[in-house]
Amino acid sequence: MRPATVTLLTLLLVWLQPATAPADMTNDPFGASRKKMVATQIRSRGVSDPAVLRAMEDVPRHLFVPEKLRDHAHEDRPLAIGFGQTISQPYVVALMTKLLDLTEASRVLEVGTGSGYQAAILSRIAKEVFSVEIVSPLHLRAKQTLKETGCTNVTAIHRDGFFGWKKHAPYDAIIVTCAAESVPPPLIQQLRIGGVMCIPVGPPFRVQNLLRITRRAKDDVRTEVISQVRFVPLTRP
Amino acid sequence: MKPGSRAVWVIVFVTSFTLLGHEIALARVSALVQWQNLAAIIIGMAMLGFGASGSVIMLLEPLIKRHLFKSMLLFALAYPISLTLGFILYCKIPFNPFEVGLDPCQIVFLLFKLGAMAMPFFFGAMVVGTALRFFRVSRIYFANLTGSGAGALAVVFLLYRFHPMEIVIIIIATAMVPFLVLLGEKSTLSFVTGLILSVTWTGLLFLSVNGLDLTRVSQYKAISGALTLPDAKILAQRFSPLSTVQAVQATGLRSTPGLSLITPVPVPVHKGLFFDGQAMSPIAPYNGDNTAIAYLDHMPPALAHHLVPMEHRERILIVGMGGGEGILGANLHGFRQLVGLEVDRNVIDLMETEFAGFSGDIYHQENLVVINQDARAYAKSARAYARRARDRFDLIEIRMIDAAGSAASGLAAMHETYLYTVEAIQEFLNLLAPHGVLAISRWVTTPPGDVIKMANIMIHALERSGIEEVAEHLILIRSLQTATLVVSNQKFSQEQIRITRKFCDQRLFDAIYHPGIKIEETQRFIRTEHPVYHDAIQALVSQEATAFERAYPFEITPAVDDRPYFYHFFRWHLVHEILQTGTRTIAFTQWGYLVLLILLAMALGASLIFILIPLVLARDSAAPPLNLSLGAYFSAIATGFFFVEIPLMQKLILFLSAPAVSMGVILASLLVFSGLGACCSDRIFPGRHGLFSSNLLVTALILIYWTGLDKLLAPCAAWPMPGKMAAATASLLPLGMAMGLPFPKGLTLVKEISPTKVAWAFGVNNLFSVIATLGAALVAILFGFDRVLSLAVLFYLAAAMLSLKLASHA
Repeated sequence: MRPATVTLLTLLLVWLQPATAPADMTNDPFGASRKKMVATQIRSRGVSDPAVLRAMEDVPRHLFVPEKLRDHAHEDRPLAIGFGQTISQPYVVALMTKLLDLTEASRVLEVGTGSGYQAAILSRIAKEVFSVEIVSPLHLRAKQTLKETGCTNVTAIHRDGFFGWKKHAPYDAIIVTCAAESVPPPLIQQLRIGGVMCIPVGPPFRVQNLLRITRRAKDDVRTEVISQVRFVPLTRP
Repeated sequence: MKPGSRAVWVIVFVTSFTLLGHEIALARVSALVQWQNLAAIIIGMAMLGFGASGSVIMLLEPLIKRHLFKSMLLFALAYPISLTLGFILYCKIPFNPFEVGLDPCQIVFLLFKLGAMAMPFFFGAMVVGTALRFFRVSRIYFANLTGSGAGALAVVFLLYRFHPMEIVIIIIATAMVPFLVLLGEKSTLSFVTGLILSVTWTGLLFLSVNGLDLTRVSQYKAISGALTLPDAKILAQRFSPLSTVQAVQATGLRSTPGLSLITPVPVPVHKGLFFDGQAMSPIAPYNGDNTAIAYLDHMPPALAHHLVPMEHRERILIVGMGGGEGILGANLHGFRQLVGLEVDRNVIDLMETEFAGFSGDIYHQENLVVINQDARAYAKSARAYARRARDRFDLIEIRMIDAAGSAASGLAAMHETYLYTVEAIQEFLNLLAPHGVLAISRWVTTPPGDVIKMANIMIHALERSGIEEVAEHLILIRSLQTATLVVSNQKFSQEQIRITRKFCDQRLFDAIYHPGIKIEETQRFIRTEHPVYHDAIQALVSQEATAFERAYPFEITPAVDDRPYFYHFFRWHLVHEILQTGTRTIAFTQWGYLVLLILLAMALGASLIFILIPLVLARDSAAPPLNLSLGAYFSAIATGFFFVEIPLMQKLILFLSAPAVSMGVILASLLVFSGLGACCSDRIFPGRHGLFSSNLLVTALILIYWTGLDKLLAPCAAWPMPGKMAAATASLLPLGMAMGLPFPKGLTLVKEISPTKVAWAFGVNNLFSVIATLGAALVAILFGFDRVLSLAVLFYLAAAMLSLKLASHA
């Protein structure tokens, strides 16, 4: 191979690098913001699971928000991502992830890919993440971002989340990231006995109840109202 | 241009016509594409624009006087231009009320939005104010009021035919008329040129509505979410002053609030009816096969059906039929005769025509009587023949017809309803068969206010109906998202309690309250930190109910007709909580109501600025006590006018039971009658003490109306709607005419004692109208409409006293 060709190919590889490889943390301009976010918004509020904290520090949240909002990506609030949807406040993402009690062997279903950020966090902890999104433009954008951030164990699909994804069921955990008017019964059926589902219930941008639903037996499902969330947890613990 | 010129009369009439028309049309646009609360604010901003114009006219008076025709021409041209630009800006400014308190930009957006709202009213009022200053007050004020009244009425009728956005364009086109009339006074050539320009301007606006994307609905409204679903499209839309109904079809569109987590049957894809972009009412596919709608048995409202024994499932009354889920539920559970109430004619039309095939033509099913009537009106008329047992209902079901979140956020704090008052529930209880049950389903909200308030209303209604052991007559269950309250005139039997338990167990719902319930039974499937709902109901049926009501963090005092259901749960101590914890907790504290208070403060601040600046800049030579008396007089009659108008509307809306139409009719007749009064003001009570007498007359009439209006109209309660409207309109004639006297008489007096203050007095009057509209609403929410009316008496009495002082300066 001639030196000129080698140089050209090297340049091409360098140019392609950011699009195919995981984000380079060492040159990450938002790395410090993320560390601060984890320390001040998540650890200080009682989320101490090392796997969750590590994931929150690792995943470049700014890449999942619209470009014009990147400077606000690590603020203690949700941000609008279009189509009436939001990327949840960092604390809510961490809290919901913690509530799922994931292990390295967990298989998780996410309903409502949205920006893809929650799936990225889950992918750092669980073995496999399956994510469904009904809004096509959101699905396409999230799929691209997940690819760019190296989340290879996430399988995203464009479909109606009401029916979950029976093909890969049962799941150890199910997380519904879009605030729902009701919990679709097919999701409960796809949760393995002993599995946990986490779901916020309530209209977007308003006060929502964060629920943890545990399937104890075939027709025995218990729900706990964990917290009332909007932008921060309610003042009452 | 000469005083008394007919052209000025036409100019003022058309300007006033379009100003009020724009106010109503903009309120409808706002409710459709954004939020109802912004609609309420528009009235305030309109008056602020009016008030500011008064101050500006006073400051520029010498200049305007020197170039009167040119000034009028300039204002008449600026008015339609500002209408156009203000409207475009209003639609395009990206204000999101949900981010107030979190994003500082939102306050800036809000201010710009308020400015865009006020701008056209400012220029329109420059036309009217200049005419009032330089032409005969009584005639101009007559044109002003009759024009406003005609505008209100015309827009109400236009709202039946056109999209609110189209009405705004019609109004902008009409607003060109004053400019053209003035050009016509100059020369024919000018008129023709102006006409060409006006047509071009309106045409361009019409063509650019879609290009500028002015009709885009907020992405946070329910319909926007539905339209992001695959294959989504709007199948039909219908307009009325009540709401804009849009029917949407999309893959994956479903609405099953409170559906059991373990529903074993499939849920079909619905079509959805959206009301002003919110509150989806689902239309289920149905072909007579009840297995397709079996999922309805797995939602909390089905409990009420189960509580009526099969042999008694004779007659059911469904309040709020919407997409027909109530009918399907009744079919599923075997009710034999159905009576359905639907207040929106457009919904009935859509269900009987476009969606008849999809829905199985349920609106035409043989055992159903569809009644296009408000629930209160129906309850009143039904009471007469419901004395016979066979005409009573075994089940009355008030469907969940409100949007999710409206009660929780306080967004609808200004939007009252008479459906959920103690008197209304009593009327429904009177329509029940002895064993019958009344059920009402609500969203479970955070903070917990709505369900508890509704339970309190039902408890009070039972008590007022003479039931002693209320605790034995109430059942409350909840799912994750919704709650269903069931009450009965008879004690619930052990069998009914057993059915309730079984119903909940099979669906994983929690019984919150039923006779004999133990606390450990209340949180079996849905665990919260505290059993808030159970504790609340236990307290409300006990001797400590009043103490509990007072101590509860949110406002849960039962709504009554004098203080109807305002979706308002705010209490003042919450301000202290917000100050302590920062604005981030604002979401949990009925922030919609707080926004109203902030706007009231802003209106007050702006009013003071606009009142004081002209006095300072004009280096006024008049004695300060005169300024004070003048300001106080015009602010008192302005406040008094609105403090009369709003409770009267409340009384008459209850009488007419058709809020949107009756509001237009009442507003129009009150304005037209006041205009007539103004026109005759030179002849009624002439002389030195005419001002005093006219204010005293208004005070006396308010007292008479306060106590006598209900009695006067009572014999007409059973009349058909046109008759009732005529009776309501006629009843307003004496008061309306009297209320038209104090302003022109006052202004004529000002012309005598301090002519330069005419425009300023006009401004003060309008500025206090801002405060009065918001203030009357707040007083009504906090203390009831009777208190508003009593304050009106005080304001007019104060005006009478002040008029004596003003007369002494003459």
